[in-house]
Amino acid sequence: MNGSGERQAADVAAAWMAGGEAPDVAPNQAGDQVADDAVPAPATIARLADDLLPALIARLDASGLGELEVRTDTWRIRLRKPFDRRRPIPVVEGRRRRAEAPDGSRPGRAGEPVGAPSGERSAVESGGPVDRVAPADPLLPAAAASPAVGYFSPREGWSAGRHVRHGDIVGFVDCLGVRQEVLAPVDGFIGRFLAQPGEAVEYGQPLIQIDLPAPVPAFPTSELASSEPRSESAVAGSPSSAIAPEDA
Amino acid sequence: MFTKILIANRGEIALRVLRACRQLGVPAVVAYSEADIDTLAVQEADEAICIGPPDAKRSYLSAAAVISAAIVTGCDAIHPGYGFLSEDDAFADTVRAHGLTFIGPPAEVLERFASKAATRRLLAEHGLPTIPGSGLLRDDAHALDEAERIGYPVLVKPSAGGGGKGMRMVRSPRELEQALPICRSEARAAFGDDALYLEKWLEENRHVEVQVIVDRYGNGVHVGERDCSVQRRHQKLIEEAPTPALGPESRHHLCEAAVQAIVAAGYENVGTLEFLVDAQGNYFFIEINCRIQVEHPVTEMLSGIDMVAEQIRIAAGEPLGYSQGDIELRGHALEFRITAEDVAHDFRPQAGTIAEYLPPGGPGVRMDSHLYRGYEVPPYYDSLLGKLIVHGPDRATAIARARTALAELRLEGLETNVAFHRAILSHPVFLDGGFTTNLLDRVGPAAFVAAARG
Repeated sequence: MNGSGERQAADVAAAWMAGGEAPDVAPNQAGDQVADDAVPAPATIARLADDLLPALIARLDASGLGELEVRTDTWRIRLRKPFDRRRPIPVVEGRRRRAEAPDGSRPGRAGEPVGAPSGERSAVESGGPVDRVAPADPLLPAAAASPAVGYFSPREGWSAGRHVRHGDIVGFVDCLGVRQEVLAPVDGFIGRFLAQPGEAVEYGQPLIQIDLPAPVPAFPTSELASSEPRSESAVAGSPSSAIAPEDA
Repeated sequence: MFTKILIANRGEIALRVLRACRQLGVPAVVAYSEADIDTLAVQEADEAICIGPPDAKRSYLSAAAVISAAIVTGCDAIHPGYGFLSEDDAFADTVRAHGLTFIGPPAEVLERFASKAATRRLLAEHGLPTIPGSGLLRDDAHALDEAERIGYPVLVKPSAGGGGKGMRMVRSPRELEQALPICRSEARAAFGDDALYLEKWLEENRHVEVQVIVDRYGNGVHVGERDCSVQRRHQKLIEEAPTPALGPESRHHLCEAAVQAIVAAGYENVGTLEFLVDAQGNYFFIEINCRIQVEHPVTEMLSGIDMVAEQIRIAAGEPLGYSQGDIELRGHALEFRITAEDVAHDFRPQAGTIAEYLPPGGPGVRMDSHLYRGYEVPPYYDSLLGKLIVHGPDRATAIARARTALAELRLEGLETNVAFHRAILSHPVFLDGGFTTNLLDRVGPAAFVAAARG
């Protein structure tokens, strides 16, 4: 996406998005839905994806802004940066399992990292390459991980099935009396709770599974598909983006 | 005794503390950063807890993360190892405020000895000769005045920390003016504190330090001295005991003076008093290390005392239980710091995978290391891979055992300083016991390597 950075996008309206704070409202409830009639033609979407979107992503990347929105009469594009680049959200998928004791038991914590089957361990022990990236399977759940060592509490009233966006606060970890936020690493839905309220948790421990929505049919161009949040939003640092045609 | 101890460190010292806990019958929890999940101490521990990302500021240096880890795992004491939070009086105080015990000197003792200038004054009052030096430098003009009074050459030193960071030797006012901003920024980066002071530079000096153990009830012993004169840019490379620089009588005199002064000054727990010894055998106190030191095994080999276990026992409030007359120091010991450094390229630190590791063995040979085949040395921390310690009835035997052990050590996968140690071992100045702290920097490491090849 860097190569298209020079291309200029017209009428870019940039807005600070909550200055590094997580938006407190579920995004879809707050003004995101502009009810209207006109659905852009597929050709328009293809053009936007080809020309405008890469330029916008590059511009957002280079800026200190949290969100960019471009509007015309018939369409609107909003890009949102990963929540806070200075404070990356721990990504659980790449985390390796801890070594197991010879008897197969592992003292310590409940709740092993999601998406790291125990078989991977042998590759580590034999000095083989270690898989540090998120799994390619978009349907594999991600998990909100602990930002600190301390005691976990889920966010009140937020239960399984609730839609969350990347950067939403889904719980807290109390570290010596300081409440640290557990953030959703991806857009999705709150799934299984991997730690109980009040449980002692370690840094990076997966706490709440975030179920990913089923992949939507890809837009007609490859650029657009590759910047789709649902397929790679678990990778920290890649800007999530979405085209929001002004449909109902 | 404690019910459970949190080990808030990494590498070989985490493993060393874990071993001491095992021998004392105390369960231990190893606190680790994400970069250290595969380290041996984590694998060997009864329990392990991840406290943060690789960045030490958010893991091993984070008081909140370390203390929270101790609380959630049910520990009642924290062993800080060396470096990181080991001499931080504010940390020790916070640990106590949370109802836990800091394994080391109590916070008020750490605070008393936190300033190097104040410590020198305090111990001078208790009879130790100290090296001429300044108080904390207010500004450049003050530094120039003080340097003039002390007499060039002088050493610019940071008030906080150690390990050679922020230190510069200068021979003229011009050099001093150039060095001050560099030392300040180095000290600020390394210790978060840019306070500096000056010390008289002894041209040909030896670094000799005295190990002491003092309990809460004012019982104190020394466990002999160590010579750490083989240094490169103020970083110790080889330590040995007894020091070849002093005869038995002088050594006895130095150690007695040190332990008397430190007990009188109200110290508690294990500690090391560092001295510079000049060519005439005069010694000058320079600073105290209020922690277990990297080179403590040298003393363990001579005395048979487990220094880490003593540290834990005393922090738990146990009395020393023996006196000076019970301590017998036998033979001669050498320690070699094995580091992942590329000697040919200015000792550049290396990271990588250990392709082969087989420690040496035989009588009087000990290897303290967290390595294993397949272990990935992470790039985030210091380059110490382990310590080879040899012991023998006399210096010549110890050196012969060291040669054999260094040749036998199999350590592959990245550049190390093993060959450099072998080069020093064959150098006549070392064999004569004549190494001074500035020798390596003056001659240059390459000369040693070349001499060993030729």
